[in-house]
Amino acid sequence: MAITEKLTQVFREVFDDNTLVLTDEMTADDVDAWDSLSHVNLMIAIEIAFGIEFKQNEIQSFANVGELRQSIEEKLGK
Amino acid sequence: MPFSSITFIFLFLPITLIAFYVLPRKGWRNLVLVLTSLVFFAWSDPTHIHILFLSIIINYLWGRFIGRAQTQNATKSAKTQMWIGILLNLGLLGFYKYTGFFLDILNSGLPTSIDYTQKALPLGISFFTFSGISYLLDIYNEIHLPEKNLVRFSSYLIMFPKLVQGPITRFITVRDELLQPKFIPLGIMEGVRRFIGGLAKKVILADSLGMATNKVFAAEFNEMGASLAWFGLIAYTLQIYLDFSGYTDMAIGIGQMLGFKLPENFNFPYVSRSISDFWRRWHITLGAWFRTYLFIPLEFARKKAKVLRQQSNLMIVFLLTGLWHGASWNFVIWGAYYGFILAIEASGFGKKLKKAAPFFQYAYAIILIMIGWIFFRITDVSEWGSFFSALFGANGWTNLVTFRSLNILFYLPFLIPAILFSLPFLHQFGEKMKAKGGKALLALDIGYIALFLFTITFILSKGFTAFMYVEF
Repeated sequence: MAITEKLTQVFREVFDDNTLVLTDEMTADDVDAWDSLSHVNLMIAIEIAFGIEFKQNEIQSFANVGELRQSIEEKLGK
Repeated sequence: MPFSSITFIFLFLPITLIAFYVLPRKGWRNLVLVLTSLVFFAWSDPTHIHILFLSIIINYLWGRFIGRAQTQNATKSAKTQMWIGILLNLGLLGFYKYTGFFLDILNSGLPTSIDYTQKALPLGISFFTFSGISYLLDIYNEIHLPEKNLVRFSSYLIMFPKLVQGPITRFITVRDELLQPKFIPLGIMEGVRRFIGGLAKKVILADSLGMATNKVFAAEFNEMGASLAWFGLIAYTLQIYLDFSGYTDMAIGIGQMLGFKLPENFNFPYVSRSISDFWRRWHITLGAWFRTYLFIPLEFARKKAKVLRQQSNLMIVFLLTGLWHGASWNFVIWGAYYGFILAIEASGFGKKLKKAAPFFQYAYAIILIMIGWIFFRITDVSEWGSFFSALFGANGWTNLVTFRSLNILFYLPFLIPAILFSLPFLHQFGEKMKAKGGKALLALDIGYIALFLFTITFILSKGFTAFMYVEF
């Protein structure tokens, strides 16, 4: 639960939208400001917020928010 | 041997297709592709065939070196091999493409001067070295394993549909087809349609507009009225898109005929709503290359930088994108121009733009794109000022240089079909007809046959006119 909350916070900051509510099925198409540039900002913000690192081949590979959250959970060893 | 030459269309392509599909064993197909690609290359650039072999050997070997280090869990050694492989590719490209440019810069700053004669550029070197680098980095990033079969690897690196002008294709995109070539009759039909469409765009529209723009941009800008300057700029804007996307349509079409699905390179870039949108629609595979292999690694390497990190990285990436297009200042400035606009859009302007009226977004993008083409087309930077002056009416609406004096009135009507082919409507209409099938599809195919015959007549008659006018 804590992860989802923290992740929501990161999303809201990066996309500058305090009303964003994350769902596992959410994709870049659902968020207006989510393009290839802000995606990089998002991934970097997640790395810093959670203290984790993504591999090169992971950065552009997540199909939706659910997969992203799972990857964060795995990296945190939970 | 350009795709639009009679030799290619009626000799090289049919022979290749027959050899490709008639040979009994599927394992032979990659060999056919390699051999025909070598002939294709040697036809236009016989003196540089060794560069092609060198590139194959470098990337094949270093792919395996990186892979071997990774299976031994030698992370450091994999990294070293990755860097050596990249530097060898860049060294090859740099030696042929940039030596003269950098020596010019060096000479202008040094008291002595180093003599140098510019070497001829090997055909397609900018494209196959970038393919090679993507192959090595994808192995390093564990996206796929190195290819052990040398013929299969060569087939990937030098296949003639994409050898000379892209699309820049990743190994992973065509790997399955290289392993298991398929015969898809419907794919061949679709490929033929795509080829004909591209051929018409290139030969009838782009080449004709090119005849006009060559004259406009060679004329004296100080004696040019605004009407002619705007015509030149609009015609060039259309020409460069129709030329490059027409070429890409032919490349993708040939790929389909051979059972490959090459990546798309254009998505109607002139209906962009911002400059970042434009760079997702123009030369897509080059943009993706720079994003994947340079921009994203730079962003992550500098993630601790708090101030203008993304903006400065965009500047670096687009300076290099400009330099990739050619070793001269106008391309560097063209790249910097886009880097600067993208940095501004990434700093909050992009968000504001999205809230503006759609008409404003389209107008904003197309005007900036057209200004960019001035930097791209006029290689002599010192002439930009007089062209801009002409464009904005410093010499009046008309002046001494006119449509008549350049003898280009004939090309004026070509703007209409050129605009139509640069917008999505015709494409959408064709897709609808295909989806309907039956009579609609038949009508569409009759249209394609007519277009093909017309285009061939056009190519042949142009050969004659060139011959007829040779004495004037």
